[in-house]
Amino acid sequence: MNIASRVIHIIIGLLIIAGAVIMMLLPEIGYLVIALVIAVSLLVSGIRSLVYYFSMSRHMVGGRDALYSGLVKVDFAILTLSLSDIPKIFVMLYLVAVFGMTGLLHVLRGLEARKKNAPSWYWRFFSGMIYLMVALFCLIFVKNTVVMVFAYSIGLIFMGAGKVASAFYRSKIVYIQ
Amino acid sequence: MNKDFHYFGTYSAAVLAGYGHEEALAIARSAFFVDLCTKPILNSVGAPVEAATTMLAMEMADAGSDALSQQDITRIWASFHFLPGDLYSKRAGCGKKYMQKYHLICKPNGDLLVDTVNQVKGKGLEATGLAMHVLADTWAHQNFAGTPSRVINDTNYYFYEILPDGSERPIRFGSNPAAPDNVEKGTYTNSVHQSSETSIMNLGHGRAGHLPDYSFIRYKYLPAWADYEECIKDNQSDFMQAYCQMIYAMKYLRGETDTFEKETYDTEAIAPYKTKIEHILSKRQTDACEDWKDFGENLTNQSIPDFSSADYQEEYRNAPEDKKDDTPMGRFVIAALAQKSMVTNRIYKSGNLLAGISGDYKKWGTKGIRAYLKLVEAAQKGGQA
Repeated sequence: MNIASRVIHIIIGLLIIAGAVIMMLLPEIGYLVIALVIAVSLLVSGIRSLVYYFSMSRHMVGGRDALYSGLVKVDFAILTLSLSDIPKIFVMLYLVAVFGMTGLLHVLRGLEARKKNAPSWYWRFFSGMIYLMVALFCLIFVKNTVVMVFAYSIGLIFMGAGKVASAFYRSKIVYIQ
Repeated sequence: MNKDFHYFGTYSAAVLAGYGHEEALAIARSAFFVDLCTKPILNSVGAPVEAATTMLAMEMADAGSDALSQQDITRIWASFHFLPGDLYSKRAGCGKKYMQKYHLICKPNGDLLVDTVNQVKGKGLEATGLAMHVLADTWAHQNFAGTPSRVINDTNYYFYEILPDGSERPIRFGSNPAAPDNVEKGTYTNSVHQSSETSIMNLGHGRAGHLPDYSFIRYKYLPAWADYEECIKDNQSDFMQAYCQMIYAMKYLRGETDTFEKETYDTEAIAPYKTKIEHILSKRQTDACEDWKDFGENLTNQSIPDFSSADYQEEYRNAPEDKKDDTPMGRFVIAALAQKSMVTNRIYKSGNLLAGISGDYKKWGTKGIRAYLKLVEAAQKGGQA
């Protein structure tokens, strides 16, 4: 990882932690900020996929997946942006579902890495399990939105701290004659 | 291509081109060192790291997706392992960004190959060996580009081996780097699918595993850039072409012919050995070192020692400062800088920034990368600056 990537990881991690703190301080509206950040991220990612499709991948074998991926991301971004007018519980459920999916992906990637004897498998697996547990906890307290927001925020802090920590992962090459 | 062809194969080609045992060994060592010369090795002996001709897996994993990292990767892989076939090729309906990648697709018999061979004429055996590596790889690595690019280098499930009896069987890929390729079962290791355009997994022939490096295999697949047109890759035939072209090129470098022409192959030199060479190339194995070694030793009645990278480095490290450039590794470093500089310049002049910016020394002086001062010094010694 070069310096620029490390800085980006740190910034993203701190933004996630800041979002979590905002949610804990303002549990009544903080979730909307998170929803907005997710929506904007999805929108930017979706537009990038669409630009990639029209400029590059439409010329490649199987390149349409960039088009489908872009359309789905933009669709979800619009869906997320439209969630402000519906009851808070649904917004939180949506956020928890996103969190749970992230956890599931981490667990699956960790298991895949384990099959290949990759040394980093346990971190992926461990973090994925934490996300899944937070998502499960949120679902258990689905009727108490304040507890749910706090649980979700703790999960976010864990995610942000992991992002920051990954920026300090040693990746320099030591050459021994 | 691996050590078998780049070291032992190049040795025998050099002998058939008229070089003596020691000269052929020097050429073969240099040809193989292209696959070993990484920045950490150069750094450890105090040589300029810009002369790196390959990268460690760890280095590649560490490389960023920013423009400068991508250019560094492209300079190495396009210059030494995936020489672009046509920097000005045309394709209707494609944008500039796509075409920049498309232009870096490796093909044999390109203008850059002629430049590569001409550039090393009169520059010593190490430069010859380096050029032979580049030439050989234009055959093995054709259809892939030496830059991370999904739209050029990706492959999909459509991969079939064409067996000697003409039947076909699907090739199965796994992504466990610890699992060896199994020729009998038809299972091979490739890089992991990544949807990111600039992922290092999409560099060169990573998505096709080591298939392009095995001489025996014939297979068909769909190159990402070929608009669903099936490509049949006959490595046995391609490796034979590479071998004959290497002999022709080395005869030119020895002064037997006045010009190096594209699409010219010295089939006469191999005529007495054609059956033996075809046997080596067609043998279903992932490592043909023993066979090539036997062939080379039978040609000269001399033993071919295994290549020791440590000795190569040690000689350079122990040489006095003003004599380093006269060691085999010193000459290799200068040849590598010259090749990288030339290829980067040609790519840049074609309007393509994927390998970075190339400054003309006569115009810009030393405002470029300081390591290339060594190349300037070498050129000044030869009166070419």
